[in-house]
Formats: sequence, C-alpha cells, structure tokens
Amino acid sequence: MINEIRSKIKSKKASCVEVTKEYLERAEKLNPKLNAYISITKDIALKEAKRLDQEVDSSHDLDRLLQTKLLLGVPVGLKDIYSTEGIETTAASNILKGYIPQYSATVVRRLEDAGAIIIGKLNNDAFAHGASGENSDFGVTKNPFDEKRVAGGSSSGAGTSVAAEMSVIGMGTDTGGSVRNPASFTNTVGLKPTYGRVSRYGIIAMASSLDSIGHITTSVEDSAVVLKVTAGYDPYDATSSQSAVLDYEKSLTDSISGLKIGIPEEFMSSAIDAEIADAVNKSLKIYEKLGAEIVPIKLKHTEYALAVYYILMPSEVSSNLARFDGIRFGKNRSEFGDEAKRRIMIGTYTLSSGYYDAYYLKAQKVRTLIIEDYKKAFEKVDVIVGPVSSVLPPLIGENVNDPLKMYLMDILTVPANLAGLPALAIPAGFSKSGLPIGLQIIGKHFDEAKLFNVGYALEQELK
Amino acid sequence: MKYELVLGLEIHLQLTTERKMFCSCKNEPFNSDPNINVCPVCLGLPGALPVLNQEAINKAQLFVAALKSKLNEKIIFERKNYFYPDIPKGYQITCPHYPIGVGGSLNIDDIEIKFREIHLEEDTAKSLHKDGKTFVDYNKSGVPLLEIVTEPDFKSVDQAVKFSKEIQLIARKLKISDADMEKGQMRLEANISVRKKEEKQLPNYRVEIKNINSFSFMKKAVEYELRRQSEALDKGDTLQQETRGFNEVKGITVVQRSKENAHDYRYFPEPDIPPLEFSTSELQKITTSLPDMPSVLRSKLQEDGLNLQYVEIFIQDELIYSKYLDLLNLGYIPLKAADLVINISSYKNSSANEIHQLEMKKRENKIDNSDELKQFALKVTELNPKAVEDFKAGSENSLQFLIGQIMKETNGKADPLLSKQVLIDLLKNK
Amino acid sequence: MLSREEILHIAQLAKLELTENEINKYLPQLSEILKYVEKLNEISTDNIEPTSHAIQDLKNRYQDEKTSERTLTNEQVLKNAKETKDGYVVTKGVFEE
Repeated sequence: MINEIRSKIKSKKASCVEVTKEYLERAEKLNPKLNAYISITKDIALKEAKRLDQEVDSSHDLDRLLQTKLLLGVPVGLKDIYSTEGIETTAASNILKGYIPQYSATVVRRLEDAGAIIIGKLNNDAFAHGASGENSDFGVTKNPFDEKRVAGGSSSGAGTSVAAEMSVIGMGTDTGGSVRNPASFTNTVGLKPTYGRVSRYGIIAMASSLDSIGHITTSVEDSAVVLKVTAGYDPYDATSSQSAVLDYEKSLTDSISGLKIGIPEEFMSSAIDAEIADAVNKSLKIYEKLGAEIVPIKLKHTEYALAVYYILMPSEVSSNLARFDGIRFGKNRSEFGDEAKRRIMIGTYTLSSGYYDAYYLKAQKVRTLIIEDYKKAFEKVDVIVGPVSSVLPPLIGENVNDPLKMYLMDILTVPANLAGLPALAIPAGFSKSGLPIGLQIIGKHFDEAKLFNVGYALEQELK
Repeated sequence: MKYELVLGLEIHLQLTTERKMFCSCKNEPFNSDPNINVCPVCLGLPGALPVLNQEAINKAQLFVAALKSKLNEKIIFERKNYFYPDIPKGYQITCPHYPIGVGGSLNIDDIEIKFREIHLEEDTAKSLHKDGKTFVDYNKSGVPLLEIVTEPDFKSVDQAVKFSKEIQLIARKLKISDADMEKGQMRLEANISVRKKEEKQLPNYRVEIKNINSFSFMKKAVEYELRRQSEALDKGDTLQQETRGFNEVKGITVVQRSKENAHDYRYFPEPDIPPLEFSTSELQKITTSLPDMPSVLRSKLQEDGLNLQYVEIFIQDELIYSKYLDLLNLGYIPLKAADLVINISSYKNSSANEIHQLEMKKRENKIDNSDELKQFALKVTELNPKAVEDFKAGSENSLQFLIGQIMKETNGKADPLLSKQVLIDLLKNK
Repeated sequence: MLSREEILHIAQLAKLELTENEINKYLPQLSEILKYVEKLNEISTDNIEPTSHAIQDLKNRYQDEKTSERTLTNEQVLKNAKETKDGYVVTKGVFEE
C-alpha cells in the first residue's frame, strides 16, 4: 500500500490531502463501532497533508523528495503511549486523561520527517498491559472480522485500524507480544524488531529491558519500508543499537531455497488450537515446496518463559510507573486501572527485601537459560517458526475476570522479548469460522531482513 | 567517659560537569529562577530516557584514583526506588553495589580513614516547604553527585571535620567540584554509634544524621549524639537503627525515621543504562595522569624547609604555588622564592618571570653608595619641607615617609637601611 | 496465599491507596499469579549468571557531544502540573526527610 500511495503522488494521480481525507473519512465512519482510535487528529492531519502537497508541488526533483521521504502522504495511527507534542497522550488510562506532552518521541519525529501523516492516537490496553484490548479505560477495540471478539493486545487499535483500512500503518509496542498478537488476530503483518533496533525515547515505558517499538501493516513490503524509517541509532536512547540500518526492501524477493527453518516441539504442543496447528503445518509445507528445510528443534526452557516474564516485566513496570505521582502531570495514583495496580504490586513484591533473590534474581537467571536455548538453536537454523497465539481471538469478556488466563495468551510470544530477538507475525489463513490465524517467524538479532524475506515468500504463496 | 565514638561519614560532592548526569541540560543548580534548566529526562516525564554523561564518569574516576581507592573495571547503575516530591521518577539512578571505586584510605592525624566505596548518582530536585505546601524546583534534578562512604574509622568529630576539609581541598585541586558547603555543593551525613572503650566489635545499630550543611553543625550534632547515646546506654536502654535530624535552634536531635519505617529501596539493575566496562590499561592511564595530592605536596614543601603557614598557602592557592615553582626553576632557593611570592605585595600580580626581572634590576642597580644616596636625600628633603619639620619635631613616620620618597625617586633601587642613615645624617646637620 | 497484611505493605511501598473492595478483589488474583511464577523453583540455576541486558555488546554508552539541550521553557515544565506558583510545581506538604 505504501509504494502504491507513493507512486500515485509521484504521478500526481493523487495528492496527500486526498489520500489523508480518504483514510480520515473511513476512520471517522468506522471508529464509533470499532473504537480503534482514542482521538482522531483531523485538523492536524489535513494541515500537514496540505503542507506536504505544497512541498510536492514546488519540488524540482520529485524523485529526490520521494527518496528522502519514504512515507510521503501515508496515513499513520500511533498507539496512545507514543508522546506527541501538543497532542493529548493518555496511554488509554484515566490517570493521563488530559496529559499534553511537551515533546515528541524520536520515532514520531522520524515518521513526520519521512512525510507520514499522523491521523490519530490509537486505543490500547492501558499502559500496554494486556493481550486483548479489554484493559483500556476508553472501551475495548473490536475485531473487524467479528465485532463480538477482541482485536488482541496490547496494540489493539493498531491491528483494527490497519485491518479496517482506517490507516495504512499502525505503530505499536511489543513487550510480550503486543504487536504480534493483535496482528495475528486481525489478519495483518506485525513486526517486533530486535531490542534496540528502534528508539524507545518518548514512548511511555512498560518494561524497559523488554519493550520493542514495532508496527502493523497490511503487507510485508510495507513493514519493511516502515522499519527503514524508524530503525537506527538514537543518541537519546542509550539502549539503541549503533548497527547499520539495512535496505530491508532489497532482500524481500530473495529465494529461500536452502533456508533452514526451525520448528520447536514446545511450540506445537497439544495446548494449541487444532486449526491453528493446522495453519502452521500448511505454512511449513509451503516453505518446503519453496526449497526450505524444516528442522525440528528443542527450546527446552519454553515452559518457564511466561513465569520469567511475569516476574521481570511487573518488576520493571512497578518502577516505571512510580513517576506517575500526580505532581508534575497526571492524576492521583488511585486512577490507575486494575491491571496496572496488579502489575505494580506484583513487581513491588518481587523486588522487595527478602523476595528479590527468590523472584527477580531467579527470573534473570532463567532468562539466561532461555537466551542460551535460542543461541544454540540458531547455530542450526536461520529462523524459527511457530504460531503466535495458542487460541483463536476470544470473545470480548471471556477472560476479563481471570488475569492469569489472560497472561497465558502470551506464552508463545514472550520468549522473543526475553531474548531481545526480532519476530514477524504474518497472516497464515483463517479458521473455519472466518477468524484470522497468524504465523510467527523469529530471527537472530538484527536479522529483520531475513524475517521480511521469509514472510514475503509465504505471503506471495498465500495470495 | 567510658564510651567511645564510632563515626563514619557519607560525603556528597556536586560535580562541576558541563551537563547534568543523565541529560544534556546545563549543570547550573544554583540558578535563581526555578524550573528553567529542565528537560523531559530530568523532569521524569513519561517516555524520557537517561543517557550517561561521560564527563561525570571521568571526574569520578580521577577522584577515586587520587584517593588511592581501587578503580572498578565494571560499573553497573541501579534504580533506588522510593517516593518523594524531589525525585521525579520515583527512583534515583545510582551505583552503590558496583561503584566507581572501592577501598583506599586517607591519613588524618595518623589515623587511616578507610573508604568503603565511592559512587555516582543523580541529585534530587530542590523542595521548599512553606505554608503547609511543598514547592519543587527541578533545576537541581539530575546534577551529578559523587558519594564517598567511609568506614566508621573516625575517633573524634574533629578528625571528621579535618577529613572533610581535606576532601574539599582534593576536590578543588582536581577541579571536579567547587565543594562549597554553603551552596550545597558538598553535603555531609554522619553515621554515629557508641561502644564501650574496650569493645572492638562494631555496635549493632547506628544513628544516621542527614542534611549536615556546615562543619559547626556537624560538631554540635555529633557531640550531642555522643552524649545522648552514652546516657541511654548507661540507663540500660537499647539503641536502635534510626535516622535523626539535628535541630540547630534547640540543639537536639529528633527521630525522623525508625527501623520499622526504613525505606525498602528495591534496588535492581537500571535497564536503560548499559553497564560500563574498563580495561586494566584504561584504568592505569587514569592513575598515571594524576597531579600530586595535597599530602604529598605537604611533605615535599616541608622538606624544602618551608614553615607550616607557607605550606598551607601553597596548598590552597594554585596560582601562588605555580609562581613559586617557576622561581625555583629560575634558581631561587625555596625560602627566598616563597618570601617573594607571598610577602611582597607589589609582586602580587606579577608573573614569576616579571618578578625575576624586577629582582635582577634591583640587584644590578642597587644604590648602596652613600654619596649617591646623599643626592637623592637632598632632593626629597627640599621637595618635602613639612616632613622635614615634622621629623625634627620627633615624628618617626615622617622619616619613613622620606625614606619612601627616596625609594620612589630611585625606582626602588635605593638600599632602604642606608637611605635611612643618610637621611638622618643629613637632617641632623640641617 | 498472600495475607492481607502483606498486600497492605506492598500497597504502601507502591504508594497505592487501595479500597476495601480492591483489597478483596486483588488478594486471590495476586496470590494465584505469584503461585504460578513459583514454577521457576523447578529448575536449578546454580552457577548461572543473571541477564539484565539481552543484547551482549551493549555497554559503555554515553551522551553524544553533539546532542543539543532539550531544555523546556518554564511554561512547558508547569504545563501539566495540577498546581503551580511563581514558576514552581506545588504539591501538598511532606515532612522533611
């Protein structure tokens, strides 16, 4: 979609304003029903589109302009934990209602510089705490494929917005699966980059050592273009990588013949819904047909990954949410939602005197074991493949009173976060009832190019 | 007194770096206007991230090396979690467990005061309490702070004061901190307990006195605590671990926080700051680049035969000391060089070379010939009849004045003693 | 099972004022979660180093000399605060600590 818009603008078949208006109209029309957006920034979007059109019109070298602005005229929604200067940022929580950031996140600046048009702030589970979108204080985001079902989380608005064509790109974050999960529930492509590939500066922190700044798009190609814009060293984020940003589009169409694809036995246990397992196996057959070699592997500490995550993540959350004291910004701490309070308390407990060794330190050690599992596996294979979710999109309200059951939704996605590895979720078919099923491709550190290549290959076959 | 003092210190020094510890805001905490040196990072806004200022590490390591403390090869920052209006993030980034340096000592009055550890942390914001409300100014938030923790080796509070002054001196010498206590650039905390004189073991409690802002404050607080704790032990009371504040007006300490309410800081490694690792050679370079420490300098100067007063002047004033060294290089003996730079007011603003030139001129053209001087004496007595009259009436001052006039006329070349003689002879005969 | 005392202690450390309703709601939920994570006791981690940063070569990162200040104006600093006065952010009084 991105390159289509770019070529339309280049050939003057469409203007930025026209493209923006098209998406804004759809967003405004569908939002009351789907609730993908907390706020649609219509005036700002049109103003920016107009400004960009002026740049296009007065440009002597449109090719050059398009080269420097890879997302020219492309409508983007931002998860409402992205700080946007002058635009309300709520994190989908009552505690930040009315909060107007006085600075923008680095990624927001990069998207703006690339000519993208921000059309609104997307709904999510408050503070990114959740896997369904039901923890938002602004109502749940509906799944466009079945409005009685969740869109996934925590980047729920991003998944629905892109799936329902309310925006071309939905920017999100993935700390335990929060981009991959909604992507798999809404038949879209979701990228979780390598930890440190994309700057976290300005994005409200959930778990600082696990947060990855990702995005949702309708195609693998679009995903690659977006990463070209968002990736790269940021001096304002000390954990951002200084490794070179590759031309992710270039290697999309490379042959995958000879590629070694690992399939962990722990990912395909009996707990996986039969239709999902089926879709994964069909995908593996397609990969074999394309010349790849399917290699069974073991990631023996997989069963402990969730416990590690639900110790380390709340610990960091409890500390990251301490700044919300209602003094410089925000409301009183009692305005936090239930899930935020639960996570703050778990984290406070696991870090507290007398418990630190048994919980936090222990979890950090098991984390090492999990990282070792993947390191060993990647000595034998190039990528690791599996399902994103063990269940199809649940009904709204199904898990809402069972926090632990909700946590179990993350079982297959958290390992990549613990190990800092990149992972791509791509559509892999539908259930008999028409619900989307996603496939997950996990790669080595900074090997996003390989993920796009492998994802693209399947995407083309399934067309 | 059957009890002895067990005293340890924690000294905080604000570093004189260009920028703050974790952001690029200017390091100017002493600004008059509140909240004008603040950015999303030091304000603790959602989404803001800390990035370490290398200058702070460099200054800290220099200080650690100067104190002969061992420079750590690995430094890991952690979060110290607690709530207070002056810590905007709800945690302070610090590195007490993998600090900049460990061990080392400073000799004060022949007692080795050992360092437990020296680490870096970010300063808090400034909070003023007024009318039942707290006013917060974030200009100071994020300023780099060096914390020096000693073992409880002090035997007296006077020793602690002397030690603190030496730390101040070293910090200034190395140009890592201005260490002005009045400006809050150096803050002290005392950890006080008492034990029976024969007892070798450390007591199982200590009382922490925070926010000590002057040496006299520290003396009074520690002396009060020594008394209070000794009396309590005599009565048979058990002393508890607690934090107390010293009320200067009333001259007493009061409990601020007891052991039950002690903070649980829930330290964990700071995920936003990657660890620091240094090679042995990198650390060695720091040690070899050090200038001489005051104690070394003191010994050297005393060996040169200088008195204690001169020694301290040179220790405190780098400019005068460097002029002294330059004069030594030009061939002057230590006592003469010291005399020239310290005692001659007309040389205050001259460089060593200029002083040397003037001294040479003096020696070359010194007028110590009575006949030559007589000419000048005649001239000044003619020009200053009133002074002559006053002298004849018995005024010593007038004689000094006339001698001064001869010095003026001869551009300082006249020998003052001889001039005096010549004048007296002349005026006797007039 | 967490005790009521423990949950109140944690809430106090975390500066959360819980209602009676919340205490009753969270107690079983938190207990269940903590029980689940104790699963980690099944494996031995003797001689295993803890991981704080998953990307190995991430170390010695400092401020870039070239980065400019991102200083906010006084107005921006105060923009979202509940109460301000004379350039200060104001909050209810706390005892000197």
